[in-house]
Amino acid sequence: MGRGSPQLGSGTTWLVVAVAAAALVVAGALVVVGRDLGPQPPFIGQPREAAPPTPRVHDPNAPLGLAGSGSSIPITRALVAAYNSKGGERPVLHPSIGSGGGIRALLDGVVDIALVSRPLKERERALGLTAVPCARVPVVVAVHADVPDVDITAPQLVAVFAGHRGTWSDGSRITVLQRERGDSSHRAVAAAIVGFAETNDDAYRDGRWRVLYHDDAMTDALDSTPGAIGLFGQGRVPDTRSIRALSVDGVLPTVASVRDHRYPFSKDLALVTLSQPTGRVAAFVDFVRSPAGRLVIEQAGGVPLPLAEAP
Amino acid sequence: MSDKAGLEVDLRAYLSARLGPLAVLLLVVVSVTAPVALFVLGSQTLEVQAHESAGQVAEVIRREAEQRPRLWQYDTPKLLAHLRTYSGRDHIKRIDVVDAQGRLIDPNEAEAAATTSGTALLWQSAPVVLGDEIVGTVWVAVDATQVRRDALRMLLPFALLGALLAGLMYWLPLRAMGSAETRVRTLLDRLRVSQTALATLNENLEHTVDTRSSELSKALRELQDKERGLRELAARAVGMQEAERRAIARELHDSAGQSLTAIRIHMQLIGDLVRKEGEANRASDLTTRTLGMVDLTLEEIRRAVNTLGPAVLDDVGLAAAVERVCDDGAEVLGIPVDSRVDLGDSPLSAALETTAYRLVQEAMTNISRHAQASEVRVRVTVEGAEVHVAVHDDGKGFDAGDVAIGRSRGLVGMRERVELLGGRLWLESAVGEGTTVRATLPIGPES
Repeated sequence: MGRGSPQLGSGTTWLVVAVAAAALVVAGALVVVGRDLGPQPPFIGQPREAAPPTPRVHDPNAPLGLAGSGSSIPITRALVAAYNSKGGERPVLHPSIGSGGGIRALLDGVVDIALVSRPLKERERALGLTAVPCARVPVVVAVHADVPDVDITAPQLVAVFAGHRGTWSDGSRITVLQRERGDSSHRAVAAAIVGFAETNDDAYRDGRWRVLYHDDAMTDALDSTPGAIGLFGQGRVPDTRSIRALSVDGVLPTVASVRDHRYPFSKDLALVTLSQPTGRVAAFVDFVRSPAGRLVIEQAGGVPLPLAEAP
Repeated sequence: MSDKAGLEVDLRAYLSARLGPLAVLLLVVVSVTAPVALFVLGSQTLEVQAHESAGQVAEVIRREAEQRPRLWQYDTPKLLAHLRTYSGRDHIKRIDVVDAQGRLIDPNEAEAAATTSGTALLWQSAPVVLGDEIVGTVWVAVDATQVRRDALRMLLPFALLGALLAGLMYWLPLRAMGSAETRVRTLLDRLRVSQTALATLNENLEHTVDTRSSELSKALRELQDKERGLRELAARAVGMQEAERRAIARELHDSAGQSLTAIRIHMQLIGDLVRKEGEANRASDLTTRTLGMVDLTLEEIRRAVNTLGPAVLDDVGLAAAVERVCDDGAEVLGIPVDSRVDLGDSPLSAALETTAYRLVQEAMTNISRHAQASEVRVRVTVEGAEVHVAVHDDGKGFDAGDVAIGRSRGLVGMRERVELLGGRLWLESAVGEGTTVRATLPIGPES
């Protein structure tokens, strides 16, 4: 036992302990702070662009490009095919990128015409964009082909999306398929049925249903999911898939029922250009507005819109 | 007693002084380390989750991009909005995608994304690879606020746990040390009693030894004093004896000898007278026999005188007496005797002179009787405070270890004379190599 100077040894030990404790606390603080000093994305701290993006014109030497809402794809594909049959300009229709994506692609000069299935927003109008309504299509309440029911009422539709009704008439389970938040088809149904918007939001919040963010994905899901129900925004249901349209309150989604407003759910499709169409863009828009174009639209399941009707 | 007090304090104080800081350190370690570890583990879990989410989103976007090689980035914001709806439940705060140039795909999210730096977000990324080209990067941010809050909430419980552990670590050894200290103190008390008894015993023993040593020293000094006194007394006795002998010898020589000499002369005169008358022959014979008797008596007296004390010493001194003995020996033996006597200026006592003389005389007698020497060397010198006597012959010598010779009366007498005066005598001899008698006599105060 080291006798004689316990006080001195104690003082030294206290000093060592104080230093070690301080080092430990500092190390702990550094560890905590160091976690915040990990990789940071490049946009952190970057100032927001003060001015709105400057629209750019698509390369005039490139083929006429069209892109946008998936709801517009079937009708536009038919219009492009008809337009191509005339010879001359051969427009290119890109896969669905949504109405917003189409407008951004238009502003970036990637395409010439954006396909939009919703009204233009104020800031989009402020950029000088011009919307040319071309067709109105029904929002179809579609089910998988094995669903025994053929009709659904508005309250039943709300009850299904709220999860209050979980089976079809034969007792089979209902599988609800949702589009993403802000989808134009859901917006059209919400505009027609009181309470559907809140029900839809609750379902999003609770993660109640499977959500699909493309028309194609919705089509595939309806086709492959027994007992499925979902909103189909591309107008006519394709005959080649195991998908069937339900009548709503006894009305089937047809051109006639949409035109005379008997069918409750519909949305308007429009062609959006950077400004008043000119040149080859104007030529395509004129074709769409022409009787030939209107015929193609009607044959594709849409209601050609008169020039005076806003999208 | 101070040691006792020191030991009682030292054991517990020493341990307390060491354990106290360690207990505090333990408290700090447990209080800090556990919440920090909790935070690190929690944040790492979040980061792994974010990284996996980023990879999954990147894979979804890659598939989208394969379908829309040119326009995939215009469709991504919708996908991200959809993913953000689901990711909120998994601590995922943001999901953003930048193109190859680092620009946000969804410009509508620029403000929200850019202002998230102030929150406790942990970002992880995964590249969107199309073919061999990285066309974009998915960034996923998880919110570590809850993890940090949980870690902070654990500070107090772990501080309490640390305090409990530190208290146990401090208290248990001290308690054990207290018990051990009691036993040690008991042993020390016993040891102290034993040490005290041993010290007392040592003290007594030392005192006894000192006393005995002092007594022995005193006795030794007394013995030495007595020995010295006896030696001086013996020397004085020898001196007195020699003086008395010489006095008797002088008396015999001066009185009886003179008288007998006168008688002899008278008897010779009587005889001469008687021879001139009748009956003269008878008277003459009687006178002749008387004369013979007187001569014999005279010789005996002379011998007695010599025995009692060499009167020659008084007459001519030691140097001349030794010379005379040597001359007599040379005359009797018919061999050369080399003598040298150097007595210096210091007068010697009668005992010293007589002993030195007797040594030479006895040695010469032995040489004449036994040595068959052809040369004799005699030295009598005074060196310092000693008289050295040496008589050497080149005779036949003898075995120095011969006991009979060592015990001969002549040698014993010489040794006794020498030792009575405090001196020493050596006899050096070997067969065929002569003999040397050597003696050293201290010149005492009597001289």
